[in-house]
Amino acid sequence: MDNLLRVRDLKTSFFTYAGEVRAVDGVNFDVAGGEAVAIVGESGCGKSVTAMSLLRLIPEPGKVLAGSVELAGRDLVKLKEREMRHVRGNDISMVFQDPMTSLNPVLTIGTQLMEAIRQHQKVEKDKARARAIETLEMVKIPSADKRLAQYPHQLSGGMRQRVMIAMALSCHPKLVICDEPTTSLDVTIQAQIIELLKDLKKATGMSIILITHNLGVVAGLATRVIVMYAGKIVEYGPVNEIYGIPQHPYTWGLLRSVPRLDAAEKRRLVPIYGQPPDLLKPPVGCRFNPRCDHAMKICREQEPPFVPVNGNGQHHVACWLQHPAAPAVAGFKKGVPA
Amino acid sequence: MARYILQRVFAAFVALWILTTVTFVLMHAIPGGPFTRERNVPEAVMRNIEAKYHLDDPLWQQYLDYLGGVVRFDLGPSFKFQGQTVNDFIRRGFPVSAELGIISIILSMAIGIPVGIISALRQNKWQDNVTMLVAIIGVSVPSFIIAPLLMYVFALKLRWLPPAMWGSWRQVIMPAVALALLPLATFSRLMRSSMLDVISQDYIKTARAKGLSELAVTWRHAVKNAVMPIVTYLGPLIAAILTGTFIIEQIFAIPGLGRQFVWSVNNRDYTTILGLTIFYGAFLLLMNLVVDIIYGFLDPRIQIAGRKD
Repeated sequence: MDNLLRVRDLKTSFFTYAGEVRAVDGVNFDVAGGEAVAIVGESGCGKSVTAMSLLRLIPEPGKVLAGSVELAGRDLVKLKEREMRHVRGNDISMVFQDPMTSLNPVLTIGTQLMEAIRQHQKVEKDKARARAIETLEMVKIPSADKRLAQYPHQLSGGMRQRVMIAMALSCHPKLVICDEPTTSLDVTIQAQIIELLKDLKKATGMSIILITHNLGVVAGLATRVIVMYAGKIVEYGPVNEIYGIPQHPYTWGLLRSVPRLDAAEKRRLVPIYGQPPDLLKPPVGCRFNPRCDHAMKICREQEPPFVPVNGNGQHHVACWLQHPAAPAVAGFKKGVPA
Repeated sequence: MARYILQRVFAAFVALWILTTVTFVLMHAIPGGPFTRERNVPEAVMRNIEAKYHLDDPLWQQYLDYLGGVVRFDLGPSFKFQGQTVNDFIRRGFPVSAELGIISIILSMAIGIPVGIISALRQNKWQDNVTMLVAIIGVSVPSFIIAPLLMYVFALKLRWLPPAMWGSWRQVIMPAVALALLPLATFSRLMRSSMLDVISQDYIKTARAKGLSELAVTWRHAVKNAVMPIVTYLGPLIAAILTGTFIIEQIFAIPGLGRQFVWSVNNRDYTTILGLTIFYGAFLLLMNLVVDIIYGFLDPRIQIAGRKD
């Protein structure tokens, strides 16, 4: 697989008064051309910071400390700010969580769409306008030409998110990062937006990084899943394996907390007890150990290495339970949930 | 929109009527009248004077007469200056006060707003600390300290500018600066806090993620949203400054409306007090209306009643 994006050992910290918060602590992953990869995890696990690090839009007092982000062979971390600006919105664009607040309330849809196009493509106003209408039609917004003169508050939430997506697509990016694109929308609209993203991916051949804590959304769009916890990746693999044979206790927990319509009998949803750790002082060893039902002595002492699962070289997990010496724990599919 | 303005104008007239009535009553409640100080005047002469100005009429009569005049835009004769009317005072004093006021407001906006933007963008860096320190001084030091200080330095010591009076552009500089300082400081502090609020909004993140330059993000996306509190403050400020400021006009001996106003209160010049109060009130109401209409243009979410999209 030729990789469009190669992220290696990415580290992003926030330097607060209380100390260094390691929001992203050594993350590695790849995204192939035309592929949709999901990053999942609960709030505060570093998903969004990872995404913002790719675009180098970490707000003060945060900083990308180390690592490389190669987009088609070019390391974005080393680019000058001016060159980076040409990457943003042009090579990599972003769809944010809340379309109600992510569009500027005092500018028309047209202005906001066309400014990105004119920024990157240096075209005349009427050409930018034509492109803006074209992208609005791509995201299936009816009477697109009339929308250009409208303001965000005149559109519904679902329409605004379509506008956000149109904006992200307007310069033919290679990669679109969708940060919780459906979280603030109601369920029927969620399904429409996911369907739309899927169609657009097929039509344009773009890659997608989908950041979400909604595992249903993941299944609808992504082919691979990365599970993050406390600034680190704990498990990654093809979507069917993450759902079918998850290996990390944290992944089990995530899956157990999703309601299922197809369950044979009624079961209670099982939450993951406790809070994500304080990243000022992350736990020693495996970061999930204070919340893990299966934590062993070594989990509190040493960080687990990644080991391959299933022998196909695609599914990996960082958990001491995989060690040959670990006691056999009944896995997710072997009866523990329910 | 026309309907909305009409409603507002009607409400303004009601407000002005209340203002006139309250001022009229309060003014007459103060002991003493326009002619009480002239003690040696024989009683017969006094009675003649009072008759001439209708001060011997019952109060309600005087009130109705006065209202009748106001409706015809006639604010009556001055009780203190023979042969002069309050309309004359306004015609003479307002252009002076307004010229000084407009210059100071332009000055304070031209400096205060950019300063506020810069200190927001450099939050907690030295640029921010320095400007906010200066702004605090600007807000807290009263103009009757600033004005003599300016006079002392630039007129007396350096001899660059004439110390007082009105007429040439060089006489405008010091009073305009002294008058501009407070609004300048207020503008910069307002703009700073408003900008800080706006640049943490999601749509600014969106604008950055589009690859826009910092300048475009600031100018197109942030400033237009951040300028609302400025507009709010601007309405009453224009009304207050353009209708004259007593202290500055007094110190620099400028023949403006503010000086006239205070003088008329001290001398119980009934018609002048009333007339200038009504003028100020009307101007303030007008400015507030203008501000509300400007809101509608700046922020499309604010619908001016009756406007269809």
